[in-house]
Formats: sequence, C-alpha cells, structure tokens
Amino acid sequence: MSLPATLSEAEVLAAVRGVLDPELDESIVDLGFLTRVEVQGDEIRLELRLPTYWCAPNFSWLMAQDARQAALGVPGVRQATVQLLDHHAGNEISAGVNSGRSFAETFGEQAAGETLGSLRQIFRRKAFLARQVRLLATLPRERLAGLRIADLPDTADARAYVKVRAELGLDCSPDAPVITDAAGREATDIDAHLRAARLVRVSTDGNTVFCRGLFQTRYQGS
Amino acid sequence: MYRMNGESIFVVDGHVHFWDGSKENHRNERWAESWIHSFYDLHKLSPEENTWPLEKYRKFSEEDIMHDVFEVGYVDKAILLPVSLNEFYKNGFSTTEGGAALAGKYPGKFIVNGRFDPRDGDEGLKRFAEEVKRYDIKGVKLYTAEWHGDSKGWKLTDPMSKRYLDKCAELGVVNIHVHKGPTIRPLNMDAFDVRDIDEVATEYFDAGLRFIVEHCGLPRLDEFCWIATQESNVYGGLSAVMAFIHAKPYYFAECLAEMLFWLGEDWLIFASDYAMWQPKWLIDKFMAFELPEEIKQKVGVDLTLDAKRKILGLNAAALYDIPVPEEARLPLEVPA
Repeated sequence: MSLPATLSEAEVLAAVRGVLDPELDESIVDLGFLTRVEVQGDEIRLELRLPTYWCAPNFSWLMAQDARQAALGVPGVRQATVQLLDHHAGNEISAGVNSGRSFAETFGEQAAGETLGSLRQIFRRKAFLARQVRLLATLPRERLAGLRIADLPDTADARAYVKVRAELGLDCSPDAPVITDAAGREATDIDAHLRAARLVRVSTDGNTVFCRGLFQTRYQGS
Repeated sequence: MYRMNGESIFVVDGHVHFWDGSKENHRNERWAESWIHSFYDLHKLSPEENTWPLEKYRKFSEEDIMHDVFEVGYVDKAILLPVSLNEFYKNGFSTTEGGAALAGKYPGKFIVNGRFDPRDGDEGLKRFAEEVKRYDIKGVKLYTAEWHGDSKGWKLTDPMSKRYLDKCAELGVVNIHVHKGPTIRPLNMDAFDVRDIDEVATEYFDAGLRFIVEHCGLPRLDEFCWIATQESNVYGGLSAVMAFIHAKPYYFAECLAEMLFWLGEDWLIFASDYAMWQPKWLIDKFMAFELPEEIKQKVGVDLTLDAKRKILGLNAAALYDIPVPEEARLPLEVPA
C-alpha cells in the first residue's frame, strides 16, 4: 500500500491559475482575487475576494465554481471548497457552489431564465475578439490580408489567440484564416472588423484597469 | 468658468450629488454601510490630496459642495441627480427634495433633476407629474438596478416604464439620464445590459427625449458605443470614465478616443459625480490632456480645444437650454 503523495499549495495554485475572470479574460490568480489556498491532507480550502461588494453574482458564481472545479482536478484532491468573502451574496454563492448545486437552484426565482452557459459564451466571444486584435496589433497592416494560422509568429499573443479559437471550436489548422468573427467567418473588410474588435479590446482592458484599481483601493495594504 | 491663455471655457458638471450616507440615515445597516464603502473605494481612485476621510465622505456640508464645485471647481452650472436607495436609507441617499432645497438657497447654480421608478405604478406616476411641476424638472435620473420590494431591477422597455416616458415627453422632461448599475442580486436579467436603451431611444426620438447614459455604460463600453453610434439621441455621461485620467491616463486616452470615434465630440458630457470625484482636479487634468500621437493615428480622432469646450459645457448647455456667455461660445457660433 502506498501513501498518498502530499499535496502542495503550488500544485493547487498552478491549477487555479487557469481559471479566468470571464469578463476580464484574465487569471483570477494574476488579478489577486484568490487570496488564500489552504491544503489539509487531501482537502483544499480556497478563499476568493472580488473588487467590490456588489460584483455581479453571475460572474462571481462562475469564478467560484471554476476555482473549485480546478482544485478538484488536481490529482489526489478528495474535497475542495471555496469561500467567496466580502460579497453581498457570498454566503449563498459559497454554499451553492460547494454543494454542487446550480446557480438557478441556489437563487430560485431571482435567477429564473439566467443561463450562465450563454453568459460565459458571450464573454468568450468578446475575449476572442480582444485577443485577436491584440495579436494583430503586433503585425504590420500590410501582412493582414489573407493571413493564415501558419503565418503567425510564435508569440504569447498568438498562442493566446489560437487557444481561444480552439475553445470556441474554430478551425486552428495551418490553412485556416486568422481574421474571422467568432463564428469563424473570414472578415471581408479588415479595417472595419479591426475597428469593432478594437472597441471590445479597449472595453475589456478598461474594465480590467477599473477592477484592478478597485481591488487595490479596497484591500490597500493587505 | 475655466480660463486659460485668454480663453474662457464654460463648464457644466453633468452629474453631482448632495448625499446623506450618515449612520443616522441608515434603514438597512448592512446594505447602507456596504453602499457607502463601495462608493468610498471609487473615491479613492482620486489623487491622494483630493481624497477625504470616510467620515466626511458619508455626509458633507453645503459649504463643501459650494466650495469644491463652484468656488474652486470652475463649474458654472451643476446638475443634481438623485439616487434614492430608499431600501437602504431612511430619507433616501441623494434626493430631489434635498437637491431642490440646496438649489433654492443658491439661485442659478444648480439644475435639479427628478427620478421615477415604474414599480411605483399609477400612484407614482401622479406623484412624478406633481414633482415635475413643483421643481420645474427638465431631466430625470433612472437607476434601473435599484431594489424595490421583491424586485431587484427593471428595464426601460417595461410597459410601465414606457408610461412614465410618455409622461416625460408630455411634460417636457426631455433629458433621461440612465445609470445601468450593478446587478445587486442575481436577477433573471443582466442589469448592466444597455440594449433596452436602444429600443426606447428609437421609440422616443420623435417625442424629443434624449438618453444620457451615465458612466458611458461601463462596464459595457463596447455595447454602449454600438448603440450610441446608431442613435443620435443617445449621449455618453463621462463620470467614472473621467477618473481614469489620473490613475490610468493611457486607458483614459483609449476609452475617450473610442468614444470620439463612435459617438463624436457632440455627444459627450463632462461629469464629476461629486463627491465621488472633485471637478477641480478632473478639469485641470482634462484641459492639460492630449491624446497620445499613436492613439490619434490609430483611431483617427483628435481632442481639440473646441472638442474640450463641447465636452466640458457646451453639449450639456444645449441639452438643458443653459445660456452660455458670449466669451465662451464656439467661434463659429455667430448668430446669423
């Protein structure tokens, strides 16, 4: 009989790093929202804190749920719980997520018709456009017409873009066009497409700056 | 009036408050306390020397607002926007009555806006009409995420909301300020969603209603811009966006450039959201601000002195029929 390997905080952290704030398309670990990881034997306890007391419960739910799932995915973990702290619906969200209930089950009437799956999809499509335009901003304009996946440089921006394409189920083969909408249709007017995509990128970046700023002022010195 | 190199810039602050977040005014301790704390976190995005202690921020004096907004803040006219929050605060947080009392003491300084909540039904509609007449109201501030009994929010397209908008059109309440606030509880809708504005902007265009979207729809700047670019009666209220100018000037430049591109300089309204932020530092920084060259090139817009004049005062003056002194008008604005 072999003893279970000891879980380390670093392993859990590495797993949770992959959890993104769905609206900001950035890791909750990098944003500082994961404020505590506690490992006790094969049990994990995570603490989440968000930029405001009023952060939208639907997004907050997704982050809490994804964080718990990520922790449960670490080999050897038997149990994982998440506590969402300093949030107006923190107790309900934590209890709901930890018991494996759905958002709708937890909030009943108030969440009627709310499908978190579609909310997540909307923001994955925004992330897709934002990542695409970040990548394209690194390439000269004259190279953009007819750009194919095989033409992409090996950079972090390119990898991030191809990754989100794959998540959305879009063609990532070498011959696939790069400048497409979230349904995979190649843009015919590149400049108009870039303008619209850039607006999504600016909006996302602006929100990230705002949320980071609020998080800092809320937890100054902590 | 802001003066610089012989130029006079007329200033309208499109969004100020005279609020009462004091403990004596609490109705629901937990929500009221959390509310003012979140407000205070936003306030702390200010430069340090313009940040108040929390206790002062809860409830400030008449002298404070007159000093900060008019004596040192360059503002010629300030628009008071109410935020009721009656479920949180006994006498409301920032009310029309409170605003009217202040405005009455300082004639010519303020424009008092009203509010309505479609969930107040027919009774509320009657009260609203009386209030419009009593205070000579030309604009309303709507806060669609506000709690009301069991309801945690509403939409501009709700049938009862349209009856109130009809009443606005009938009584000449033409400036509809909308704050798409946070989803305070999980709702069967997304309270940040700005799409309801699209529908009512089209529907009430002929009736002369204008929709000023506070905070430019943040955090949905992109969706707001797509709506505003299609609707010539949709404006962007710059409060909260302005605060970026200190903490993150590059992002301020990016956001502003996008709005100049999608909406244009005639559709943006300066606002401090006082006492959230103080107009003096916002205006000092805005007047000194220039878009970085690369952003100008990339987006294809510029922030000219005339654009600044429009954003700081002339656009709001046109919406509220505020007379602008001759020295501060646009050079081209010569009567025929």
